[in-house]
Amino acid sequence: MSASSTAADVIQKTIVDEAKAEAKRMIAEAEVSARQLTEEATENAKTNLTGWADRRRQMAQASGDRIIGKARNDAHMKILTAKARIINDAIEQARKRFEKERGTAQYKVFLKNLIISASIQIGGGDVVVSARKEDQAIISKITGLATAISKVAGESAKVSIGKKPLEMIGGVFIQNKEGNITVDYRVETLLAQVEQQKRNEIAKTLFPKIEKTETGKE
Amino acid sequence: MSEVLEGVEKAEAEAVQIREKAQSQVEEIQRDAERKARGIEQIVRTQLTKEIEALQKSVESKAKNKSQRILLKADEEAVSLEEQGTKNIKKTVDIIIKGVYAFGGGGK
Repeated sequence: MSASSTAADVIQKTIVDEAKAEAKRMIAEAEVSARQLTEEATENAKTNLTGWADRRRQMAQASGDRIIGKARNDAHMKILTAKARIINDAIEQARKRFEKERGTAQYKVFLKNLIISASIQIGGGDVVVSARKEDQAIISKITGLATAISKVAGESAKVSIGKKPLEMIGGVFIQNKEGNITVDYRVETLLAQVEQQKRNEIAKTLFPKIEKTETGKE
Repeated sequence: MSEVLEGVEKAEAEAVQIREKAQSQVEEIQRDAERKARGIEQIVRTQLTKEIEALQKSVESKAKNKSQRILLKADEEAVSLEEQGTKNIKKTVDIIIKGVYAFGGGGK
């Protein structure tokens, strides 16, 4: 082997070795860079998804709240419906009992008092009383109506019975002669008024033990 | 002398090939890393979705159990109302009738 060929071998080896070393460095740097990219992407993904995940978790919790809220509403409705059914039953029974009482002396007094009270509200004068056909006969026999009315109203009064009988449970419907002032004392109207006015008393009487536990809440 | 030059040229050609191959590997590593990075968000999202779906199932299951208890309690309460109402209905009808008679200025 000559000296020149040995030197040439060294140069060649150096050129190749340098290339290999550079290649190794390039790949190592690329791998570091790749790791950094992956780590950054993971961090970014976590950051980006934090808000999204929190919202999804809140929505999951809210879906539970909605289910419970609906159950509470349904429970409340069940209780209200049960109460309404019983109150309606009581009103219906009261109506039936009233129908049975229409032939009594107390009912006659009741009609008389209704007519006097309503006529005074109208202010006396000529009043027309509408009633059931059966009650028209009772009213026609009541005496002293005009006197009782004029005594309180302060002017003369005349009570006449409307020609057309009304279909109703009982009571009277009264208007002045002109027909522009009316007082509705029909029993169905009075029952509705009693239901409104005595709502609390009726509820407390029907359900004395329930008042504090009816919300359905746990 | 020409042999020496020839040898050097050959070595330089080999070096070029080595660098080109390395560059090619670098580009492959970069592509892989970018592909992986793009997929990471989806992987994290999938994991979170599974976790949240499990949470939702658990929350809804608990809520349904609680709802059943609430509705059962309401049913019991409704039955109690019915019982009390039936027991006290006569007294209540008396109050209503009395209220109606009161419009005529009298009680009963």
